[in-house]
Amino acid sequence: MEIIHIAVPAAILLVILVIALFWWAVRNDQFDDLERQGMNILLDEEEPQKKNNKKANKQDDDAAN
Amino acid sequence: MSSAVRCFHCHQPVPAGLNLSVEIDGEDKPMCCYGCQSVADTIVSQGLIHFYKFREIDDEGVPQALVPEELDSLHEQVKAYDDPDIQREFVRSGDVNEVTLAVEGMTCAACAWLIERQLRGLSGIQHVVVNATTDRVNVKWLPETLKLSDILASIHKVGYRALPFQQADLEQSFEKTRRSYIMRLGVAGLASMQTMMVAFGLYYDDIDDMHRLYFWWVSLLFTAPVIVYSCQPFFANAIRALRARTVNMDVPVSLAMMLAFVASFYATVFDTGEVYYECVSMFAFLLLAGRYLELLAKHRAVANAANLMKLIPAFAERRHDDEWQRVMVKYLQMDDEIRVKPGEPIPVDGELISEQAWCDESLLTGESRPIAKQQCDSLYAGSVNQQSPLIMKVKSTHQDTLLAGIVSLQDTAMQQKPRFARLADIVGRYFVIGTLTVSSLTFLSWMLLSPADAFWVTLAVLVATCPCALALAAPTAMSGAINRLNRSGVLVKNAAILEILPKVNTLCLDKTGTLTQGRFSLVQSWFREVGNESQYSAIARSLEQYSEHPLARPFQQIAVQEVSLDNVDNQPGQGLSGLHKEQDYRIGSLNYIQQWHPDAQSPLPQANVYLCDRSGILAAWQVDDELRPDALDMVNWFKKRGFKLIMLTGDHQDRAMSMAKILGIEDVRAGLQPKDKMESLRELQQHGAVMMVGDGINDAPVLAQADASVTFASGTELAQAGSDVVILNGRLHALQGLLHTGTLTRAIIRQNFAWALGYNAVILPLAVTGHVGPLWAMLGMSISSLIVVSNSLRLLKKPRGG
Repeated sequence: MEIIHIAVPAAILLVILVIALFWWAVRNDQFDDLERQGMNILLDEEEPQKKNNKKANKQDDDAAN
Repeated sequence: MSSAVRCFHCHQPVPAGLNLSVEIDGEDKPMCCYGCQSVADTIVSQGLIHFYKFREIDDEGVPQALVPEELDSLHEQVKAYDDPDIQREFVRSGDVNEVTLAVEGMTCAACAWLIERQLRGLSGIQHVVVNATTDRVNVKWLPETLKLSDILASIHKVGYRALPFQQADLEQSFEKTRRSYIMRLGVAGLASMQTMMVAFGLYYDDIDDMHRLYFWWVSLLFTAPVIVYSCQPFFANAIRALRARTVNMDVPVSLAMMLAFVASFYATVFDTGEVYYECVSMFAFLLLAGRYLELLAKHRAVANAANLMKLIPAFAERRHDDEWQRVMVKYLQMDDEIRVKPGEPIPVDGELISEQAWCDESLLTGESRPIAKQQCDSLYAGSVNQQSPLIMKVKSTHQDTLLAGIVSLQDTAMQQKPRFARLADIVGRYFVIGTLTVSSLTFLSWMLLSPADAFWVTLAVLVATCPCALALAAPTAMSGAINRLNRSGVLVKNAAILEILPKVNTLCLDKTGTLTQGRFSLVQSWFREVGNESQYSAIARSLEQYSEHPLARPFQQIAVQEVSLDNVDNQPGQGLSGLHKEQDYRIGSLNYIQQWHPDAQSPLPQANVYLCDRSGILAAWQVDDELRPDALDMVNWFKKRGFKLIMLTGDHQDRAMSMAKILGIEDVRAGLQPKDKMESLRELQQHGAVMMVGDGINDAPVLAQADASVTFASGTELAQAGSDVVILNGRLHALQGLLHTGTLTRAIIRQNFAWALGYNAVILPLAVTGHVGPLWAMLGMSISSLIVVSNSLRLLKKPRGG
């Protein structure tokens, strides 16, 4: 029974971590569309036509304003 | 379903004699039209054939693909969206522009993937997310390299229509609320798993006191965030209700949760009594789940409504010196001269400058026959120019008198729409009052019997009679029903409609465009000699080519070949004559034919177009606005179930009557103005709930006022704005499905309530007499909630075909 003195706090830490992850996911729109994600795993195995751009927000393009 | 060859792309039957195909995966697959062929071609050439492997299709098939001509005209139309003036309304611009578009025709995840892939192939696209739940695409692109119209066109190429839409203000707040709820739900869910785990350890009696206390503290640690964070909405609602001197479901819920938590906290700190932590967190989780589902269902309905409000910029051609310039309708001034092409709607009220014109005012008035207009006649915004380009003078820049009148009628109708008290609210209120009364009585009587136990027994009563199952009963059923309808091509804009549907006992139907197709076609034909049909049809077609009368148009489809004609003479309003192979022919009204054959009788009672030569009538046709193929079926279905059926139309009495006779509708009210339609409806509403089905501008006020209203996706925007339900697949058949789902939903909600109340009736006496420990209260509550949810899930099963 002594093990629970270690196991329970470990569980508490884990739960805190999971909640933090969950919040991160919600804030990043991961829960916006639950209908598609199960299918994507089947659909995405084709060669894309061309290299997809990575997320644009980190691109330092010298856009002429 | 018939075993005819079906189009590989859209699953519609392939017309006989058509031989189109596209090579997919090394096999030639049949196609039903050039539209599907060009879409399938695009999909194959982009290497996206996975779409065909994983898409979900039912018997209904997928929405019709756009035909190439349509694609071209759409392409013209979407060019307008590049106008910076228009873009200001819906594009968030900067170095990278961002836009959200509503997509029509998405049915499954494969569609979403297809659109995403198609767009990612364009250069200048930064980011694409397709949301299959709300049917929307969010795109970020570089305005220097890519135009918005190209993005729209590229979605059209794979067979979907995408356009900007009027974002509803409600949605912003929904989105915020949804997020906060899902986070609260996550916290409550994780916390209740942990507390349940620990609670199971506590259910064994041989646990020693030190471990028991340790577990209590651990549970307290997990439950605290649930009370502090997850339960906020309940407390806030309860306080709001009490401030307004009423009670709602949240009052006993908050009370039970607060009491249970405080008591458990007290027990933990002073090491005495009982703890109810697992109840509190489970409680919160289940209730939040119910709320969340309800919110999703409502959100979906609001998103649907917003998707329908497309932002289509209206353009007109204005005379500028000696040429025509495209300008936006909102820039038109009084007395401007504008030109309207055939088939286009007239943008503003005005006066006809051209010699004459035919206008289709059916959307405004329900009149199915086009109206002949002479010079200086008034033209109304919203009517459609039927023939050659007309030139008119703008007489009002604001929405015209006719349309504005209808809009204001609609506004008043909206306020008159009957409000039904929701079953859940009624049951909830009584339940709450009952629970609070019973708990107070329990507390008082136990105070007399044994004051030490009074608090704990009262707590057990509150926990045991938790209205969890009650709170889940309606929302789960509603969201199940909305999903089910959405999948079968019926959009629900107003979630409350589901509870009203079973009360409906009267069905009002508009005629033009609802029971009928809303366009002329050849309904019946008669030929003097069998065997000569093709020759007569060819002559008819060739003659009618010279006519601009709307009734002439269907003749272009009756024959494949044409014949050469000489001396064609067009007598407006009468018919045409011409010479073919030394023979004189005439086609037109019976009057016109009788000029040659004074005693000619119509061989076909309803015929209105005749072909004759010098010897007599050769052929006769009935050209009319044809009934929808499933109209009769639908009417019979409703009659069999004892509904009162009433036709409300703005069209002429005799035309309405002949249509009603075919369908077997006895109560016909024809020639009605929108105002009269409302009067009729109001009178009918005295005797019960009325459902109205219509599609025109003239139906908008009645639709807004009816207890339940249905329109078609092809209907006018104004009608869609006032309707609760929009049928996407254009089948009247969907009405049956809608009603069936309504009845089913009511049955499921009632079963859920019966179960929840029954369970409470059993557990309450046990709790009052002090026989229910926390474990049993807990288990009973969870199991009853699970039963309610699984019962509601039955609604998600595929609707029965047929």
